[in-house]
Amino acid sequence: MVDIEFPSVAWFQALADITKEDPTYRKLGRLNAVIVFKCGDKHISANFDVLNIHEIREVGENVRRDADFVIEMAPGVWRGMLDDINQNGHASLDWTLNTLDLRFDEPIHRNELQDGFKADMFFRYNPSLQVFFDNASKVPTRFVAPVA
Amino acid sequence: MVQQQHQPTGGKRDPGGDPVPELPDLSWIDKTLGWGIKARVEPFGGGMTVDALNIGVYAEVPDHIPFRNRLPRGAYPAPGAGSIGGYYLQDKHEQWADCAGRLYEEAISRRWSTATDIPWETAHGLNDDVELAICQLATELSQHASVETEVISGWLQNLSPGYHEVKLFLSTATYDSARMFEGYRKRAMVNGGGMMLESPGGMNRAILETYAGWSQTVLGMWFVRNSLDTTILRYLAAYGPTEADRALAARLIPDRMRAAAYATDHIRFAISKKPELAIGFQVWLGGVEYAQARDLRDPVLTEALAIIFGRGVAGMDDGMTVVRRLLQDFVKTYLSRCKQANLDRSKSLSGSFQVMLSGMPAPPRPQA
Repeated sequence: MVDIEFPSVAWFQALADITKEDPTYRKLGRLNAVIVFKCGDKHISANFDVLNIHEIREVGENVRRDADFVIEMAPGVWRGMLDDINQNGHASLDWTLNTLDLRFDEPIHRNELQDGFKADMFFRYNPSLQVFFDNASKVPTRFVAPVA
Repeated sequence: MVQQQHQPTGGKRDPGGDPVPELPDLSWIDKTLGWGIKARVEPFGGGMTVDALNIGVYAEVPDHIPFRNRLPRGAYPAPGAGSIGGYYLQDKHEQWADCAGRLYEEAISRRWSTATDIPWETAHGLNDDVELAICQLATELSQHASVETEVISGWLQNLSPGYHEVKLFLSTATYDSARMFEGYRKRAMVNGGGMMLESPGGMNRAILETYAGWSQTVLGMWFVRNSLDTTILRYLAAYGPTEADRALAARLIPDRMRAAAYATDHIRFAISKKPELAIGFQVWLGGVEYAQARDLRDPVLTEALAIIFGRGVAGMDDGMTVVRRLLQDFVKTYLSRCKQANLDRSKSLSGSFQVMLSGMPAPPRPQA
């Protein structure tokens, strides 16, 4: 299988395709959130719609305001997380979304309009999002560092 | 169900002299306000949700329910039912949150079991000091949750059935807190440590004995106490000493956050309908902050956390650094919830909370 560039729509689509069929993800139950993933100058939006994950597309930075929340990490942190997942089959302790959110001065998640209700979906859906990213171990990845 | 026709014994007869069967009284059959209104199934596996039922007359959620009885919203009232007592919270602003139906569906869909979803086999091998500290923490967290179960279930009977989304959500919140109770009770028991010292009890009483209203109960229970518990769970999910400790905390966080979502949405709604409530809510929160701060000046909880995060009594100083950050995050979380609900506390935060927010050590507890 050809390596897929990260970050890209194709990479997130591959991850979504695996995750939608993952019984662990489905067992965790429904979620409803539009999430933008920011890595460098790349913004990828995905609609987590009940048990579907669709409308994955690259968006401009202004679209971040329409998202329920944004997950933003420096390219090096994204790479560290994905390398760790690839190595262990899942995120180890220092690289879970929850740990990363606590590790830095600023949380890795936020709502652009400071809507705390929407930002808190990060916690409400955290186990599902962790399974989503843990499935990155099944996506052959070529990391392309975007402009920071 | 089709009613059986009664055979006439000596009643009416038709012109030919044959007995005319008595027809059942079907006068109830037109007692409907919304015949023909159909709810639709959500796409993408969402199924038939509670919110999807809110169409036509069933979408009319009144600001006030005039009956103190069990009339389901949209049903045809039985003549003479009147008020039967209870259900005294009859106003929408006293209980409503737009997200309640959605949170109910989430809670049902995302249900789980501490019995089978936690890798209990990994919860072993800790030194006695860390195990004791975990048991102390488990005792307090399970007690917090037990109080919450009692409080929610106690209030349920006072809330009008006309706002059924709220009642449905709160019924799941009762289960959620029960799950936290039994989850941490199991954690305390798994290695023989068992139950230890109960929590100081000031906040328990403040929450249990809130007679001012459901909204005030929500402020104490889900703005203040829940912010502390959720922050502890977040740190345990990241820095818990065993996989089981981390998994248990991580699974409980979404349950806690649904309650927080209802709470902030409800208070925001209440203030939007009755802006004058904000002043009373602010005063109330000041009192609850005092109760929470007084509980935290009892060193047992923070010392147990310091042992856990320091990986033992010898590492308590390092652990206490983590605890101070945890308490700082607790106050930040609390302030964020207040802001979400349009109850800005940043300028009126109590002194003890300001100390926690600054990350400085709390002053020693005054001697009695």
